[in-house]
Amino acid sequence: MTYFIDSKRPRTSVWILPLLLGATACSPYSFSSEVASISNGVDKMAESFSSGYDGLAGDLATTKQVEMAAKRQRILLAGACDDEVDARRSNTAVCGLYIAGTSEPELTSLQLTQAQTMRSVRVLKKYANALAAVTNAADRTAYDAAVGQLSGAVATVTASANLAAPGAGMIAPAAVNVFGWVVGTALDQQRYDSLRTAVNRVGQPLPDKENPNPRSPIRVVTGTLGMGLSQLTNARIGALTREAGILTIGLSSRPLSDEAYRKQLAEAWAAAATAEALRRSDPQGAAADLADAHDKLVEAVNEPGRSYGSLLKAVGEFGEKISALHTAMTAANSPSTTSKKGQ
Amino acid sequence: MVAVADITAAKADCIAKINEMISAARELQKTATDADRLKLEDAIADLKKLRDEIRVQEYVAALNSTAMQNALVTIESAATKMNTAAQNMKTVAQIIANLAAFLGAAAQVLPALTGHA
Repeated sequence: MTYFIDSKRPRTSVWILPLLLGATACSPYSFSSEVASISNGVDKMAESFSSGYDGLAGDLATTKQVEMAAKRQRILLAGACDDEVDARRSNTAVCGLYIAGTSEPELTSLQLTQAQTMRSVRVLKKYANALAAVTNAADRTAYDAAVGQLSGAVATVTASANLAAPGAGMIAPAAVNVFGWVVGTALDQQRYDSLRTAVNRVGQPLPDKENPNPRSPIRVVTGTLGMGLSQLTNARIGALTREAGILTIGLSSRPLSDEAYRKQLAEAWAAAATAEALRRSDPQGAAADLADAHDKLVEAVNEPGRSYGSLLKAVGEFGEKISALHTAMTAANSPSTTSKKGQ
Repeated sequence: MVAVADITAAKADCIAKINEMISAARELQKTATDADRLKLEDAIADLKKLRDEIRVQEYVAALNSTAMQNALVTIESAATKMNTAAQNMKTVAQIIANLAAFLGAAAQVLPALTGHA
């Protein structure tokens, strides 16, 4: 029996080998595109958190400036500005300005959650990126290319052996291709197995004696982070509407030139428009959609033969909501005094 | 003994009351003088701050919960295992590519060594 295998085309020429060997591997690459979308969505979620915290700090500062300008009262420098840097000291105090007779500036309770929130977000992001890595079809292409190079190199080296053993120059590259295919299939299977194990562990609840009806790890994390995003959105809306409110009072409370009036009106309008964009976003819905998409991924990975239209739909819904939130959170990042927001 | 559900319900009632007060203050602003509008704006800000504080407590509790910590450990462990599997293929591909490069170089010097140059 003679095997004729073209060493320069390892994939196309060994197509019959799976049939010959009676082995088939589940491909992790079937979910490549959907998983990449989930991973991109989680990246956007992480950016929404960063922009949300940064934006909140900016909004609070801008609102405070607008309030100071409206009230024209005595302004003081916070005592925290004179503090020495000391890791042991409570980190809530802020070096900033404040109106005499009011409390000195400090971080809000929500701002104090930033470090812990971002740690949790990083874990979720690492997981989503790992899903993308294990389903990245480009790695298999690179692997096949390496096997092709090796096969070609072996063919060149063994060409001289043809003199002593005719046929060796063809058999050796073929053996490399078979070896490459077997190893590649095993590596694909390893990837698929790790994907299946991972999504099942993360996507399915593990009841125990203490908690017979727990939520799955992904539901716990997305539920909590959805709550955090919602808090950030509400806190920003609060600061922005206060800013808009004070600015609108200023429109009638003191005489303004036409230009100053238009500028202040535009700033108030922009703050309200930014608040409205945030109000229209659905942070908890976006987080819940991520969990839904993950549930559909679990189903698809567990039953690879089945159509996974529901996965596509779930991924699409998550993508839409997280994009809207991301746009609202990032677009609102510049101080309103530059009149860029919401315009 | 106070149940968790009672606390949750009390918080919801509290937030509903705050929202009512904010709405009432906004209504008063419509007919108030500018000076009073500013004072009402301050009152609304205080009410919103209180509402945020109540909500943040809930979020902090969820962040610190055992369920959240366990979930994060599970997710991180799953990510590490997938990254290892993903890296294995890359490593093997790199080894094969290195071997191919070595053999390619060997193929160039082999004819000279065997006298077939």
